[in-house]
Amino acid sequence: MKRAFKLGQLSIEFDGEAAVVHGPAAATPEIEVEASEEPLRNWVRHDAARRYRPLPGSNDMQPGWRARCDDASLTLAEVLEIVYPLAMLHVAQHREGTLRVVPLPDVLERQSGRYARAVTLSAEARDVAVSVLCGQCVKQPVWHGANAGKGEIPCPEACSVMVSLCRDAALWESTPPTNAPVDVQLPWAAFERPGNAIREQYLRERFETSDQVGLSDG
Amino acid sequence: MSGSLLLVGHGSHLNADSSAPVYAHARTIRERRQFDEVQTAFWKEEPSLSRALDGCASDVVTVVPVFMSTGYFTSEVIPREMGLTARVSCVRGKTVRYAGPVGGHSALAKVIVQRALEAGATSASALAVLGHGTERNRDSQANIYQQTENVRALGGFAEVVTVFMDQSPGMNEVFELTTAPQVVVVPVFVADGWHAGQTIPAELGELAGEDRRLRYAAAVGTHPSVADVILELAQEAAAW
Repeated sequence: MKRAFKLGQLSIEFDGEAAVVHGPAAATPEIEVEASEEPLRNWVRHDAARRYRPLPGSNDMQPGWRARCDDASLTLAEVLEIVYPLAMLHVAQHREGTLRVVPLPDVLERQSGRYARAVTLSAEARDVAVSVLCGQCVKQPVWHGANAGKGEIPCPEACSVMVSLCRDAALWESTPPTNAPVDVQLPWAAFERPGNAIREQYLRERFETSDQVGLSDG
Repeated sequence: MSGSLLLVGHGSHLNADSSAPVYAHARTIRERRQFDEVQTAFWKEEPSLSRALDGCASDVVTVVPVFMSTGYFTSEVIPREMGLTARVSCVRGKTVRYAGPVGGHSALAKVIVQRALEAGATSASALAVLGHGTERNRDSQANIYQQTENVRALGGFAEVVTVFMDQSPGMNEVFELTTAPQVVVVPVFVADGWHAGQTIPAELGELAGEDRRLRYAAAVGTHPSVADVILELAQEAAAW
């Protein structure tokens, strides 16, 4: 009998020969999402407010759904590949010790065009970017020294969203923007727009001094 | 053909639909079962270009860029991110054949014509082949001019001209560049995204005159026949 397991925000159970993939738990009954390519991809690429999730690993997957994989649908492996591309492969390679890990400096150094600026971000500021962005992703940045345990997905290389954040963060170093109220309607990765949640968190953690934190806390 | 076929696209951090045509063409080609597997990868989505070969099970991979221009992305970004050094490269034990972009293949001209006809073009119409263009990289215009020549050679329209969104001749000059009563603008873009789906039709809408009619076609890259162009590119690469 196949054993249930977890992968990121998913829980996978088996019902005879069929696999049932559950999204994050919700208080309401689960919605059945068709385990075929287009409907499933469209479902997991949007959060509960129908906002686009450019990062498959972001921890804001819609809750309260399931997809049943049987003879008439995609296989379990195909479903997992749509939800978390390459995750199962990287889990296996990590376990076997064959995962090719690329450190952040290597990724930033090879950028060009509008992203060439990203490499100028200091090590200290890069740590803030990793803390903020990877803190919202279920993948474990092994490229930054994190460990990936059972049910966790190792991330072997900084993603393009991280490169984009580093690029914008490098621009903010010379004249730090002031914080703006968070606007949850803004696109998830629109870091150049005041009110973007990740931008605002980064600016607070990078530029707000302990004195300012004390003052704002009253 | 066997081995892995890898379609690479731009993708987006902001627009969920921008990668849809790449997924659609991959699905079409997968159903034809000509390759052991058909995978996708993106500059701005996952799987990323830099990890794309991780997901290819075969030792022989054919990479086809679903891009319209031969320029910065196809000449610099994709090879750099994927570790490609030549038309045929060896990357971590895999033989990788790197085909040209969809926008550079002569077979795309028939898709442009198809889009024009769908939008109502007749033999009396002028057809304007619309490219993105950029003043920063003049190489990116070459495919658009070549496709204009290819469409002109196929015949069937009173006039065929080239216009661009971001360089001259601009799309706002389309009536000055043509004389036919009806002009059909065909966007040589991968997706009906922000530009092809929104900003361009809005800007063209302001041009319509009383005695001239302007029609706007769907993006070339979303046409199902683009899958055939991809297969032609892959077939040509297999002969290298």
